[in-house]
Amino acid sequence: MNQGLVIDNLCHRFHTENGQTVDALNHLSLEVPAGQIVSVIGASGCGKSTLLSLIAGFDRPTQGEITLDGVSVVGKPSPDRCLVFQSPALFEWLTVLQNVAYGLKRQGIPRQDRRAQAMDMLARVGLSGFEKQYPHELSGGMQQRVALARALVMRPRVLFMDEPFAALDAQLRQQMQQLVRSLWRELGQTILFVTHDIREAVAVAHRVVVLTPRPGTVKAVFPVPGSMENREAFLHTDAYETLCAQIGDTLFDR
Amino acid sequence: MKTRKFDPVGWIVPILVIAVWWAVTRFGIVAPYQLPSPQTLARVLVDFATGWYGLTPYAGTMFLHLWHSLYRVLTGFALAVVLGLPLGFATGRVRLLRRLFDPFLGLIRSVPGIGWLPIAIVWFGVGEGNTRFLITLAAFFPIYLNTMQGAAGVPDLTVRAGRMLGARGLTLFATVIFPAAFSQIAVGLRLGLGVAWAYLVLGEVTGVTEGLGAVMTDGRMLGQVDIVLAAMIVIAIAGKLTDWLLCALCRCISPTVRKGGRNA
Repeated sequence: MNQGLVIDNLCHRFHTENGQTVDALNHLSLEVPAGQIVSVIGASGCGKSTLLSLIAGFDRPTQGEITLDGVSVVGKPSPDRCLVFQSPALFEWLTVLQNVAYGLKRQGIPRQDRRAQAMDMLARVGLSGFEKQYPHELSGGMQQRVALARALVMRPRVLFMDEPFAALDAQLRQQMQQLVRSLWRELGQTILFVTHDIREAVAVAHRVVVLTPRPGTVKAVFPVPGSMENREAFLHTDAYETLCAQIGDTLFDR
Repeated sequence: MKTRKFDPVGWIVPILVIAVWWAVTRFGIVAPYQLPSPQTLARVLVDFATGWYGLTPYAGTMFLHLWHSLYRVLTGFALAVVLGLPLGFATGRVRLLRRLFDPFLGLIRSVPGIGWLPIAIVWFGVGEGNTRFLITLAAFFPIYLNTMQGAAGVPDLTVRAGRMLGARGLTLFATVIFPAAFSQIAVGLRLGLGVAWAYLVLGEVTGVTEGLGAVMTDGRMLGQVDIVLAAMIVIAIAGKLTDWLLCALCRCISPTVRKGGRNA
């Protein structure tokens, strides 16, 4: 039953407030095998956010099916599928620890256990010692780490990341990408990583899916060679530059 | 949260005012029936509270009147909270309900609170009823409007985060929407309590027998400016104390609510 996430023939059409009809997605099919990281990349406005919103269950698609390990998840938000948003969207009135433990509390996990699990996850994202702070006391990068820990602690079957590092500076982004890779090595977390940054898409994923402009559908899939363990070294090779250039050519129709 | 430091500069103006006040009464520039001297007023105030000197007909009755006034403020304010919070959340979160209620409430709000006094007297009688009606009416609007704004302003992403982490229905409301809106609600509660005290005086001067507003009206008619001023001071202190208690309560509910009412 460990098929991972399967998106089959997804179409989505919605109406804007001024009465326009927008075709956001057009027969999009995509698979995220269990235990892998798949990057989705596309020009802005290609329906990436719509796609995530549909998979997370916040909206229902006009047509098509989304299954997680063989079970339909359409229109059902659940801690099975956790999202890390573009902005941290933390609960400002809760401490860092309470933020991370929030989802566990909803599942009725006893206080001691959820505290232990939250502390463990905070340590993994490098935030030990900050558990009593409030979100506004942290920097943007640290807030995004809290958001990551808050999602990961649920041990979701798929984790979605919606341009999670777009608001961070270049150096911090690289650190965060490194963090994603090391978390994957430790937890084997299945991740769907949405970005508009080609280099980032390659740096964190086993394969890169390129979407067409709106209405979005899959244009091409690029496997990233080598294992995640050797990814750091791969990022300094010519093969990496060539792959990025190739993806860029496909993305921009060059 | 910063603790407020003692700032001696802030005391300069009050001390100057009291000095000038003392001077104009001491040298007969202002007649005592218009403005008693600071030391007289201080004695009247102590007498009002304790009855030690028997200076005015109101000696020793302060707590009786304060209790009546406080009771009116708190019941009127509580009623405004009971009405304002649910309605604010309903119109803030549900577009249809906002379209249904908000224009009507806006219409009512455009009548100044004081403008309700005559009709309130007709409907609820002079005294108790119209006072509480005016307090509730006046306190309702800041509470309702701020709750609506706070509830409508909860970011979609925050609500989504809550749903994603497994909260729905009442749990989602209690653990995400309410706390996210609360700093704005706290602003409304404080404003509401402030106007509750203002409208208390308005209601009480129109004819109740017990209450600080009644003391002020009687004092004026009896030509006892000292007790009028004493009652004003008691109202100011009571208003400040209740505001302080409300703030403390708000901080218990949500630790990130600052004194200013915004999220720190």
